[in-house]
Amino acid sequence: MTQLTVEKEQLVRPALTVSGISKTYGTGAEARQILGDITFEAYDNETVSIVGPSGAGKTTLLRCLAGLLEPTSGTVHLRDQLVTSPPEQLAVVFQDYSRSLMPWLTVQANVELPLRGKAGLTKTERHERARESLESVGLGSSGKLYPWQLSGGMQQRVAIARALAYQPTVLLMDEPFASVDAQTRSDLEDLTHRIKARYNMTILLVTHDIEESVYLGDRVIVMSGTPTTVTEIVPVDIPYPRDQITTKSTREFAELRAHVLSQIRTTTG
Amino acid sequence: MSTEAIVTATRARAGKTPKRRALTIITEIWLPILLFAIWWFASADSTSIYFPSLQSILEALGEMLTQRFASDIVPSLQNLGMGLLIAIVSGIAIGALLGLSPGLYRAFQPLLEFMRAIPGVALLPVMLVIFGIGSSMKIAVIAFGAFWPIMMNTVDGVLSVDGMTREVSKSYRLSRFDHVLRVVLPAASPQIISGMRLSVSLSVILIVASEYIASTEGIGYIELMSARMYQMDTMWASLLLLGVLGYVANVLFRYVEHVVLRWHRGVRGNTQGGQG
Repeated sequence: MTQLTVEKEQLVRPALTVSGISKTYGTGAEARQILGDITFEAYDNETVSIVGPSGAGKTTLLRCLAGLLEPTSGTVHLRDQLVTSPPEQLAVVFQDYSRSLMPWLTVQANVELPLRGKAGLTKTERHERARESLESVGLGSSGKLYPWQLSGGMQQRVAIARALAYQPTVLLMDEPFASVDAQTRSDLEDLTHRIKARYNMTILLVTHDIEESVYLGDRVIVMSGTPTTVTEIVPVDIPYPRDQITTKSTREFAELRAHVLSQIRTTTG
Repeated sequence: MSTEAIVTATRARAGKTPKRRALTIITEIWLPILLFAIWWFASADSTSIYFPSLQSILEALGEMLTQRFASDIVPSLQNLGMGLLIAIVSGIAIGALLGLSPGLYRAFQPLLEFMRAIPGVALLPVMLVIFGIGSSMKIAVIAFGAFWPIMMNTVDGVLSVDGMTREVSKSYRLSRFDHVLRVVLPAASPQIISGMRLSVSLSVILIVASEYIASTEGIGYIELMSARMYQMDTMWASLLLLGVLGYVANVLFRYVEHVVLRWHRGVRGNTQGGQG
């Protein structure tokens, strides 16, 4: 009987479960609540976009999910495991690639660095895995270069390759394309689509760009208000493969985009 | 300056081609050679006891290098190297430890500031009493004096490691070992190396001072003894040798810095050039 319940529970557990997360900085009169009671799930192989205006505490939420920050209340579960510190099945792509990559390591060594802690990986396997994931982001021949010898977009690709080599079940991306130019941005968005198709991962993408949230997401979680709460969870039923020109010019896409925008507007303005 | 000129200037600084390198060397050594030549001819007929001719100084230097190499020059360099090595290893280790445990650092800070304020040479009599005349005393004095700049700069460097860098380390669950050796220390290496640069000059001062105080060997000892015995050519020769050694140490150090901090120059070059 007990065993049956456990089995059943494992079957239905989403990849990531966020229940009633809130975060307050400071105490007493100076207390400032950033996040208020946020609940949602992210399922296997799903891309969930978290969109909201700048300063809405999206990064705070992401840091709670990554186990880098302890929420004031509420819990985060990765499958059945309560997240209290960074879990092994989770990787993060940070916004600022120039600071998240180690400038004293080559591109290859940057991607290999997190693999050193993975149990049971030999040096050759580490090397091979890093090379493979660099190839999958189109940087197969740049392993010997240093991050600062690459363009911004390429540096962010290295950061993505580093996350992929880690082979997480959940990939968190914090405004990953906010610091690159428009052309590079759409290239990287399409790269994210390819990654999603190739790897079995749940992707959580934090962004302030409404169009991007719809283009990349299977669902869009709209966040706004002070303290920030979930305004609406919008399903995006646009079929794959999606592409920059045709998908973005469909009526469906335009409607979803307008809908998400209006959701953010009504709650902030 | 036009864009083209900036590009050319950058290339010249990079000095990649042999031709450019030769040019760099020539621009750096023409003045020393000229001054040397002036010294040589101006002092040629010198009758002053205090300022002998350069020729006799160089002869004394040659004699020193051949006859007193093993007995005096080697010990000086050995003690210098040993003291510096101890200072570097312990300075980086203790600096990293304190930088990574802010509580410990705050507790130790007043004591460290006090100890650091003691001039290295002030420890000469103390070390003399403890270790007696010999290498140990000199090594201890150098190690003590050279330790502080390295240790303090390591603490500074470790404390100023970017928060994002720490976050990456944490989220990818790097082991403590990898975090310190592959993330924190490389990130702090520009500060650590500038501390080491200070320590190298300090330790040259300390080795000479320790050889003045109580010693029967060393370049400083030769200088002091020859001055006392009015062997002015040997005195000047030892001074010349000390200058050359200091210069060579600096060149070697610059080379190490060039290799170790290649990434740092690269990053800086990028952020400065990123404006255009």
